[in-house]
Amino acid sequence: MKKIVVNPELCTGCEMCALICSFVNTGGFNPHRACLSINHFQDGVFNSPAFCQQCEDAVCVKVCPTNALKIDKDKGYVSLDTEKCIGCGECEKNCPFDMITIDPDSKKAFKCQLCDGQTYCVDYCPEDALGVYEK
Amino acid sequence: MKYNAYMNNMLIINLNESSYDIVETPLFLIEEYIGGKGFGVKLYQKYIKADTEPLSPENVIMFINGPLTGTLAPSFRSCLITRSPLTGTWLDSYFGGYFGQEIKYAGYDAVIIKGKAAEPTYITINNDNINFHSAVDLKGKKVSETSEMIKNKHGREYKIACIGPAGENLVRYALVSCEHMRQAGRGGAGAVLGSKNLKALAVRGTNLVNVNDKKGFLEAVKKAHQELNKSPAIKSFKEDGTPGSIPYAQDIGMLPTKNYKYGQFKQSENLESKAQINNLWMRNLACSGCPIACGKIGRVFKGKFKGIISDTVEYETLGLIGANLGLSDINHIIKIANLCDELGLDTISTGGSIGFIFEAASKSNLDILQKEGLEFGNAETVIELVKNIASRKDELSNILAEGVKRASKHIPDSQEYSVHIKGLETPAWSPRGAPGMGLALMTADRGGCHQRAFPVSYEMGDDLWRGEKLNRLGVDKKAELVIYLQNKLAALDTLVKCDFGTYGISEESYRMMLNTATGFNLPPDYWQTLGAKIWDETRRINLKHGFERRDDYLPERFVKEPLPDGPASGHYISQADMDKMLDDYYRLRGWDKDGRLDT
Repeated sequence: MKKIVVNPELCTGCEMCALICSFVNTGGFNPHRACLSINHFQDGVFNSPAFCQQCEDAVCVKVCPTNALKIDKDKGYVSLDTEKCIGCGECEKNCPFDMITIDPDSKKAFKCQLCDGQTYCVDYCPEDALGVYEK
Repeated sequence: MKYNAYMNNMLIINLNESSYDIVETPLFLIEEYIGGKGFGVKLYQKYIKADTEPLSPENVIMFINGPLTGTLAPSFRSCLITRSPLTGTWLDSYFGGYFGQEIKYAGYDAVIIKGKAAEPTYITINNDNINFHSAVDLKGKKVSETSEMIKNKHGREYKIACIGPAGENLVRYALVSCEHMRQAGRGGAGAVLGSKNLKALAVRGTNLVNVNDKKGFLEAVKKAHQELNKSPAIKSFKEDGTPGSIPYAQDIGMLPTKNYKYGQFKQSENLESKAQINNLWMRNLACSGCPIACGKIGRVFKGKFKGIISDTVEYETLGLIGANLGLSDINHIIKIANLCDELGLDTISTGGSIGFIFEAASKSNLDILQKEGLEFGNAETVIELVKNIASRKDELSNILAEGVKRASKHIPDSQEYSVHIKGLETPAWSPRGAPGMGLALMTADRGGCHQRAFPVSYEMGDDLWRGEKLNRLGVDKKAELVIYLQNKLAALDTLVKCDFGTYGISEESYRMMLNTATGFNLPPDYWQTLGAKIWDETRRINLKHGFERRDDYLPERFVKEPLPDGPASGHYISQADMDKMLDDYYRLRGWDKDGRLDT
């Protein structure tokens, strides 16, 4: 599986990862609508963006009543089929990392799918603080 | 017709009745005035009359965004517009960070605040869910405490703009703290909120900011990023932040020292960035969407001031609190800057006011000045005065809380060392060795300000003006240069740009980002036309409040007292020089010899 990792010492809190993420995934800009979250100023000084962990033994997959979520080992991430998703919110309630949400417009689950390999957030980080980890 | 990148709504809050309206953003504002300062000049004239007292319920204060605020475009901010209680005229005060963006995400191009709440109040704005809350428990709280208390109660997603005790106590240069470590610093917008009994606004939003041409917009953003990466000035902001300007200002003799008496500070090395690298900075800090990250945040780990968390002590603060007060220990300056931020005081006006009173104490026998420690270089006194000013504790601090212009009326014969323009204490660019900078300060619409035009690099020969190296101490062509810069920056303040972005991003890239985001088709020469129109509007506002040619002159210190040190030693900007530049300036702007228009 693949996941996006961060070096928090390099993160400036510029939100460009979240801005491009919201743009690619929703069509407009708003960091709150990204499938990553930036925890501003932990300890008053440091940022630490958080990303979907693309868990190999994913809780969201286990709790999904419609099999809309599945572990795609070939692609290296937990994929979401929005056709199957009924927006019940079980995944959102149970994700240990708070990294899957119900989108306020589509009313369906919303999560990082590594932009199908494009990982725009990694490309747009001006400090090179993000990378893709694969194991 | 609806343009993209706008939210197309404005929120109008009436504190008299704890009520609000959501109104459509007028199309003429969008098409003719773009946003930010452009919206501001029209809305100001709509809401604020010639005799509207700045600290009365009738004054209006407006948070205004630009079309690119909240997008991926680098590096955009927001502004606060009101009638200043410090100057009595137009005030536009800009802030970076995250707060303005959040107003857009909540769905608004602007938040316009009228009236006065019956008791201390704060407002939560969650998209179109707007609520008024009692701020009695927040009374007297510092800005970080205020912000924490509201976030703890309503949720950490909220972004907070608030005032500190200085705003509550109507200090005329109280600031508005806009989320973590960012401030609308100048001109006393904090006192206007204080006069309205409005302690804070807390905003969150889930709306999207859309753009018209997605592919074209990302290409325009990419080009702007490339331009930023190529700029040596941006490299310096990235590495040293604004303190990188200390050695430059020292070399050219423009670092205000001991109430602007001198242009060089013997201990200026102690104010350079390495002092903060050693004592404070831990990492780079950016505003939303900005790849520059000029902020350098950190914590003090040792000594008397252990535990302070602070962003960069900026160049202006190092100049006005450091050199101008004769303070050279960076730890003292970090402490004082942090106190000003927390209590909600503009460091420029605070440094200007205390510098004035230190000089007054050395020259006047007035009873009120017979207090031990009122002398340059005394950090303990400065710390005490800052606390006292914020609470208006005693007679002296009450005078200081009014700013230099009003304070000088209490002290006989202080005119020669009272340094302000239109009532706004001047910034850390002492102009005697750069007459173009003098003209920029003289004509700045909100009073003594370096951000409306900054011609210094042209006067020092680092930049050529229309292919020509200008004479540093001469006055020829300075007016046309200042007008060009003022127009450009005012036009970009409609977006609302960050000043530092302009050191890298070309006018063409700004135009392409705006056109692709909104769907406009603005021509290449648009910025000068738009800027000139805005300067006419702010001039109308200044004239409406009684500001005329007589108010467009430098303080006596820069006119009558030769600079005693530095490469421009012996120089001053004479009355004749000022008149020549003002005549040129008015003529080129199409105003009459008295600086009037529409006559």
